[in-house]
Amino acid sequence: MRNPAHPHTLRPSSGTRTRTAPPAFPGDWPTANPRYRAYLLYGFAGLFFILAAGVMVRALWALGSGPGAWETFLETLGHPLYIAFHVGSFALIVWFGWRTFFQMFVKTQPPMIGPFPRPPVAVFPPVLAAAWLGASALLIAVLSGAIL
Amino acid sequence: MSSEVKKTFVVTRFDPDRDEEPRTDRYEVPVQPDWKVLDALNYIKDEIDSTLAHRWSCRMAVCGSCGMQVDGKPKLTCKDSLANYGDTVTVEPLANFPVVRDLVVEFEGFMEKFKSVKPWIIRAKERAVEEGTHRQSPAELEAFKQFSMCINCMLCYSACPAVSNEPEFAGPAAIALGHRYNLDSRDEGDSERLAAMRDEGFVYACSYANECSEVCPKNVDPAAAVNQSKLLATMDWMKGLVLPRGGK
Amino acid sequence: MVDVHKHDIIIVGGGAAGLRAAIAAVEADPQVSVALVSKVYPMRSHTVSAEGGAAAVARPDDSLEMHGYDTVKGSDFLGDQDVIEYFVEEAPKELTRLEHWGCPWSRNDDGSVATRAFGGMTTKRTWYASDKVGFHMLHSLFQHSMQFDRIVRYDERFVTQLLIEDDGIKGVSALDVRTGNIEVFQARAVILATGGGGKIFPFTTNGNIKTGDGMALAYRNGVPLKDMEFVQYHPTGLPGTGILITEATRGEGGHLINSEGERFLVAYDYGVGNKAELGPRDMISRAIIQEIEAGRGLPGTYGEYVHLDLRHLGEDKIMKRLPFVRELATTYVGVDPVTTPIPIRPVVHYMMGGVDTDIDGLTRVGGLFAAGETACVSLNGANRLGSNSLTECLVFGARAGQRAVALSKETSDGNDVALRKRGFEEQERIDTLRGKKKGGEKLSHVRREMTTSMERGCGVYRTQDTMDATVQEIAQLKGRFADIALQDDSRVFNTEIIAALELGNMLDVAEAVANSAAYRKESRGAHTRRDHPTRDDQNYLHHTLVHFDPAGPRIDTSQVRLGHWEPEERKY
Ligand SMILES: Cc1cc2nc3c(=O)[nH]c(=O)nc-3n(C[C@H](O)[C@H](O)[C@H](O)COP(=O)(O)OP(=O)(O)OC[C@H]3O[C@@H](n4cnc5c(N)ncnc54)[C@H](O)[C@@H]3O)c2cc1C
Ligand code: FES
Repeated sequence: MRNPAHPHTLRPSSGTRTRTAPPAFPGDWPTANPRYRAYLLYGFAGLFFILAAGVMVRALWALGSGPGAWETFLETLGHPLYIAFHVGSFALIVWFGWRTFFQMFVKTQPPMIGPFPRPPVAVFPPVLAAAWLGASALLIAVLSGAIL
Repeated sequence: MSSEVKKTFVVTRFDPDRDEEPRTDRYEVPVQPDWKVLDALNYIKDEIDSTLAHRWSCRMAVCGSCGMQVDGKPKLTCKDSLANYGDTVTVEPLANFPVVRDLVVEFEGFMEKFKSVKPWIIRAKERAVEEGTHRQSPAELEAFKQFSMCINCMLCYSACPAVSNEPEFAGPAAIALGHRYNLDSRDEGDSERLAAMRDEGFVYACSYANECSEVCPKNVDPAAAVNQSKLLATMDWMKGLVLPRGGK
Repeated sequence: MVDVHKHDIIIVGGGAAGLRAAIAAVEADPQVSVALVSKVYPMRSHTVSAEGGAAAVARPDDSLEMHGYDTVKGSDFLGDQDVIEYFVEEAPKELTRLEHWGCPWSRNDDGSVATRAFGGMTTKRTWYASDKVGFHMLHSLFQHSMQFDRIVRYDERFVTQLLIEDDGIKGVSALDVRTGNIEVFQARAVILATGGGGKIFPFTTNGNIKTGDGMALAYRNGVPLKDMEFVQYHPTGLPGTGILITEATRGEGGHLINSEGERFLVAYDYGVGNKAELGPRDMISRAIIQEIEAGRGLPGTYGEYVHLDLRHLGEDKIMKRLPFVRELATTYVGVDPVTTPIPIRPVVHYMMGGVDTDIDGLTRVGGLFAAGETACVSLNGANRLGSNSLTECLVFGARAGQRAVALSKETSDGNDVALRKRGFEEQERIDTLRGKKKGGEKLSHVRREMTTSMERGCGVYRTQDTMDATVQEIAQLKGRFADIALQDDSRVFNTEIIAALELGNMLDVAEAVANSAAYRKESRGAHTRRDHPTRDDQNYLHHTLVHFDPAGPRIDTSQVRLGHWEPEERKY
């Protein structure tokens, strides 16, 4: 039936004047509402990033253990599970970045930032997109050895 | 009128003197094509079961009394058309609130949060009537106007998972109201309010579900207010660190 | 057990008038203790629904004299001119105060407060906050009031009795909706600010809470109700729901159109001359009914209607000045005013009459004040001008608050024991009524018959026969009301007993309206009779007072206070 919320949710500090039924979670919590699913995924994305960090640590470890270990590590990366994991992580981080910057970040800007008025909200997405593309291009250039 | 159809309403009932916990009653209602959910509840009250308790007044989506969960979603029942629903419609009290009776929820907890943001103009020196009105440009008005449109209907509270979990959280409507005053060019109380907002959980319990803004019937966008307040409260705190006495 | 709360002043009602009175009281004396008792949380008060604006002189091309004259003429010379002069003088100060308290008034480019045109006003003097003026005023007042700890709120308390002793009022009893308990509130002055009673009619812009409680309370306790026959029909309500489409639509340039596509206020002579859509409400409502009777209305599910056309204003202006109108029309009749005219019908809107008070808001019971729509301080006479009412709530709410403080210092407390005893008796009465299963009448049906009878007898056009019939019917309904059966015997949040108490109040208010209307044999302002179509200053240039009597109401009159504006023919 009703999924109970924290028992003190919206309870007056002096208690309720008549006996009340306890507060319930929203009816479509946690997964019946697609927006809650997105919200939960956003929260759980952290776990994925920890796993990805684990892979990174493993890579460093392999690097430190000599060329043989490094070769074996690179081989294991070719495993379909690893590939799936990396594709998944990539998609997730793209979505995570989009939600963080294109939704949350935009909303977080107050109309006045100190003495400066916020630029019109409409200019944020193109500027952010340009920054994102620029940063990605730079990264690709560095990684592919085109520069540096 | 000929075009009426019958719908079944499954309505939460709770009488603290009789019921251990909430239960439901079913009512069959002949519904007119232009009816809102509230019209059906009033029909039940007038014609079928006068013991049903629900709050309403203006029936024009501005007094904020009539928020309920309809088919599991928070709705302003005087604005929500029955044409959007199937043959069976469930009506429950707003989620996240203690339930007083039937569809009536406890409002006092919110009133405390409401007051805690000091929702009034704070000025070092009050302006005298003889000095006339303040000058406020249309742009300065626009800066806060949206956040002044809240009708306190509580749909945002009932949709917010942070509210469900964190009793310290001031919640969307209250924070939006505090933010409305912080942004008003006539107000000088922002650092006072922002200090309060830095209390444990007050604004920071929000983890951006954004559901408040999705369900708001008045497009207030409380999620924006909450997240802007987080930023302003933090900046105000840093200003206090860098400049002794808060830069005043 | 009956809980007793002691304060210096009790204010009943948390709308614009009640909140302004409360703030005025603590401003006048920061030590005074004020109880603000309201049957709903203050921000639910029906002030919230006002859309168009609040009037006060603001522009250099305007003057107090002009605002005064417009109001006197609008009132069809039944307004008291000393009241009107005080009102126009205080109005700008009150709206300025509200500006200081945060009300988001719409602005001109230079940052000054913007004003718009309104019906019956010679120039632009209506201050506005887009088209949600009542909402913004109410929330600003409520939020401002929260900083005063000396204003103690008792929300969701339904006042059931005035507790009056020989030398005046000493408190009220109220039903705590939450617990079902009666509480006694003791004080030396009481202000009734309970709003109007449009719910005695079936088709009204008024919300569910507007049941005339304060009027009925005063009426039953020896205070006459004044000018109750003057019920304002607003020209533009949405068919079916009665939701208001503000007069600001016409102030901003909207047109009224009949089925032939004509702007009938221009095409035919309705006495509004070149003011056309900016004529006063009584005249425009009559014009619409005449258009419909002449066969130039459009047929609809809820009776015939005419069109309000805003299309020529353009989407930009509508979104800037009238966004709420667009929301309401789209939501409640499925019409987007940007592309389609809005169907509208005249709808019961406002009661010019109310509790008889002097200019301070004081009634003839010592210590008992009234302010706002529930009062009749005689500002509005036979017809209120749109946007004078919100300002009235501020001007006379403030004055009542200040006078109540002064008066509370000169009077003594009531008798504790006697008041507590009255509380016990009231608790007993409520306990007997609650869930009273014995009876042959159904609450909602008695209520419906009352409203249809009122519409039949006291509509836009009236005749002696129909009014007399309504007088009879209301008297019978009062008898049947005594025999209603109630089903809900729970103490907690019992809305059925509230509805029953409200119906009792509405029947008293309906009785006062119908009897006053049947008395006045002339046409003046909103009181229009087919059998007496002209104004009769010889015999009726006076206020109507109706006194409660268990045997049936008694009519009496009082003088209109004229001044430097002589009565003349009312033509625009
Ligand atoms: C749709 C609409 C639009 C309007 N637009 C305008 C406009 O543009 N300009 C203008 O000037 N005027 C307008 N008016 C008129 C104006 O809004 C009202 O006259 C005014 O708001 C009345 O305010 P009030 O404080 O007297 O009463 P309300 O705001 O009605 O408040 C009454 C209060 O009394 C309390 N109360 C009632 N009975 C009891 C009881 N038994 N026990 C305890 N508490 C009780 C209620 O809880 C409430 O708090 C409009 C009216 C309507 C209906
Ligand atoms: S009844 Fe007022 S908002 Fe629905």
